[in-house]
Amino acid sequence: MEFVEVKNLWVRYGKTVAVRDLTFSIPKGEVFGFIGPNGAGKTTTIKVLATLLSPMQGHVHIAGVDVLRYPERVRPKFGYMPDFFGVYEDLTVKEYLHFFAAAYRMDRGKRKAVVEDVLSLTDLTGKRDTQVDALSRGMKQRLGLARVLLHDPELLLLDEPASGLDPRARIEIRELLKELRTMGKTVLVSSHILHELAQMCTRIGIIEAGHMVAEGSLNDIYRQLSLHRAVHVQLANQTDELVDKIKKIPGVQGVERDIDRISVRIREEELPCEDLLERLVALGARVRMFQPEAMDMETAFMKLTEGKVA
Amino acid sequence: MGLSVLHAPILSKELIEQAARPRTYVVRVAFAALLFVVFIASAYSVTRRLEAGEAVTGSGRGLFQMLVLTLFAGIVLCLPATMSAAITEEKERRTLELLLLTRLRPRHILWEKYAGRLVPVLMFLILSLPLLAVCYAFGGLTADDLLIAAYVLFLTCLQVGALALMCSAWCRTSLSAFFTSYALLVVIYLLGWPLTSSGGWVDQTMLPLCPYVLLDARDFASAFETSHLMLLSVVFFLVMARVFLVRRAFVAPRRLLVAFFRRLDGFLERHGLALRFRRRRRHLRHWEDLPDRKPIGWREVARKPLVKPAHLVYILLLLEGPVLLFLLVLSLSEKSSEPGVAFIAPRGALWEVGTAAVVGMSVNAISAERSAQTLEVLLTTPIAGRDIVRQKLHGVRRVIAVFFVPFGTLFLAQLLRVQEGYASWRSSPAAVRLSFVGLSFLSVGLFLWQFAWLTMWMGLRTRSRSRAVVSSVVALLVWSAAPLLGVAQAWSGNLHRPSLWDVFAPLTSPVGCIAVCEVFPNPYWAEMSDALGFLFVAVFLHAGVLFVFRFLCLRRADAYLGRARPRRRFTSGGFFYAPPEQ
Repeated sequence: MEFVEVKNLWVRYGKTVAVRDLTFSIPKGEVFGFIGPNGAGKTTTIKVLATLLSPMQGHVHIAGVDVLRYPERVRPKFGYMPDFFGVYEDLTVKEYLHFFAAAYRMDRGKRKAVVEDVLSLTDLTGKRDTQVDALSRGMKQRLGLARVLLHDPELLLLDEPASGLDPRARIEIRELLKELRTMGKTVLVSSHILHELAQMCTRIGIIEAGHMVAEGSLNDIYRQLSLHRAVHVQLANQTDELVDKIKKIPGVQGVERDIDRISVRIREEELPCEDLLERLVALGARVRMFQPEAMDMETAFMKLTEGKVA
Repeated sequence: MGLSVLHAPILSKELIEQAARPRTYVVRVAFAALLFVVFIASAYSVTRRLEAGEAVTGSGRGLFQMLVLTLFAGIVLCLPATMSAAITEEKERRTLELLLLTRLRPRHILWEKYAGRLVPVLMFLILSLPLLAVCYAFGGLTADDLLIAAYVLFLTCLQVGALALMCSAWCRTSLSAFFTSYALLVVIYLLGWPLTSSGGWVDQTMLPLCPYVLLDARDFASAFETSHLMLLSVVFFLVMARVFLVRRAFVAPRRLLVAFFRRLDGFLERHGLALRFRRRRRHLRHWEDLPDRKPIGWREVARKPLVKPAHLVYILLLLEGPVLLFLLVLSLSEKSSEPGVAFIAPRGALWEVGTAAVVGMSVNAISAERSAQTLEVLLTTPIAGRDIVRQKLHGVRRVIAVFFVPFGTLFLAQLLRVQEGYASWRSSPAAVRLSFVGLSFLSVGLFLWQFAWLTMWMGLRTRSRSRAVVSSVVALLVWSAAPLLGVAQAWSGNLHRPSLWDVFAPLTSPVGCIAVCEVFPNPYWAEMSDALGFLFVAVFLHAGVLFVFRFLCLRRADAYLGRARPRRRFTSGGFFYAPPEQ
């Protein structure tokens, strides 16, 4: 059963069409990474899901409920964190969370425990009585995540949750999202930080000019694009003859010579990295370094998009 | 090429932006239409005399004076609104620092901004030239009159523009610059008016600052001579603008009243005098530490500065104190034959403060959430839009309740004085007396609530905070003044004898209706008591206006706030619009 379903979505701002015939779905418990250049339509799509924007056409369902017909029924099912958001600076962290707990009509008896739980989850327990305006940007972002989790929503809509944060805060947010994935939450997260999404998303959707240009797991997308993994190898006994032999190994797409190493491009479905190492040793190569390159999502992104905006 | 050859990039940008904005042309057409209508209304009496075969030679002077007064009022009312944002909008967009980093000198930035905002106003003045020609054709005007009028209007533009530019350079936000400009203008012109009184206490070397008084000059030379101080004021304002531009380019916005109350809180807390309102009564649950069922309302009344329970008590003391002092002074002073007249000024002041407080709070209620980027998050909670709007007005409700105390004190004191002073009051039927006293109390709740809902509606409909405040203030001013001015114009022009509508029209203005509702301490009350029926109708009409705005705010709350409208009747997809061709 798909938890989020978006079919043939069209959104227009005046004469500009921001989203064109967008279709995708997210199964329950998946972390879906929404990637695209600025102006691609990511925020617009998330706003439609968050009941903040009326599309001109399309079907949008969350947990089987039609978002466009019953927005009030859908609101308790998701938590939304926009790309830029303010906080009530006249409140303390605890008051802020109690404010939203009351807004979500949580049982008064349970509120205190839930607030403590989310504070602990987001590592803000020590800041409970701090004025919200005294928090750093990263802490405010964590407070935003704590707010999103208050009513235990099944779906999290996170629009650029790590934007504008320093590396430490970014890593903290990433770890938090990984934890949410283990909690079984369905997450739709948009970001520009591609390698971060690659680490935490189970599925990826690449959107450009309001179109979904690719969707699926990372491996699916690489396969779709015929992208090959590069393995950097340093050989103690590198000779032309040995390199030619390596080129002939089934599953090797090509070999490039660098100053101190060779880059072997492999078709992973035919020749996994571990097998390549075995075959090299079998060919008599004395391997000094064997380093498979992380799947290059930036290459995928650049290959799929042309920098167009909606 | 165009203006870029003048090396005036800011001026070019300003003029291009203005030319590209449809609003520029709408305002221009509206101004021309208004000017034309006012002129036609004034010229009507002249044409009637023409029809009657009377001589109209020389009647151009009256028309001319009216036209100049209209243009002068237009400049004074409109120019500060546009000029006061000239620098502050750059500060708000954080582009002033970029401008200061360019090779443009601060004085160039100021001059270009100044010129860019003056040009459209001067265009408006040019619009009036054909009407001035008509006035001249009617006779009664000399070439000097025309020259002086042109000089007065041009000088007013320079002076008002320079003053607003100085405020813009000083203030951090467009909103504060807007209000500071008008406040300073009132102060300067009020200082100027007494100086014009002949044989008064003023030294002859001190000259009025309002250019309008130059119209009384004998000729252009004497007008120019008299205007030295005004010209100096223009230079002074521009120099100060130059000084403030760099020094106050990066100041943080400050809310003086909030800062004052915070300091007061700190002081009272340190000395153990702070007021506590926690868990004393069941019905005070909103004042408890944490929100219960109405979180937005809780925040409005428990955490917002100026509306916190302790702050409301301070405000009450600040309002009630002067009222009690006034009553004490009044009781010690000699008895007047018109005992109620002394109450007009404090009542007016209370209305001004009350209206400012209520309007400021309700217009800001939603637009502050928008500008702080907190509204979107609130809209994704299950709270209904109408509840958000209702809860947002909890603070306003409490402020209105606070204002009832000083108003009530004044009304009761008035009642006692009138009871003693007017035999006609004592002899009038109890129902009439009761009606006036009741209407006085009713007017406070009715009109403050009406202003609150009207400005809430404006705040909901307008995206920018400063635009919401400015449009609310303008709407209230126009609504308050237009019916009164219309009737005054009609009566002054002797167009016809006062009709039923002339009696009723002032009551359609909130100011007119409030004045008549609270007329009982004045000597005119007896005449007004004949119009009690009209008054009740007017009060019902105003209550209707209140409910219309309340209905609009609540009914359309979700749409105004920015939530998606639910598709109700059809199955989703396909019926809204056809998708555009790819």
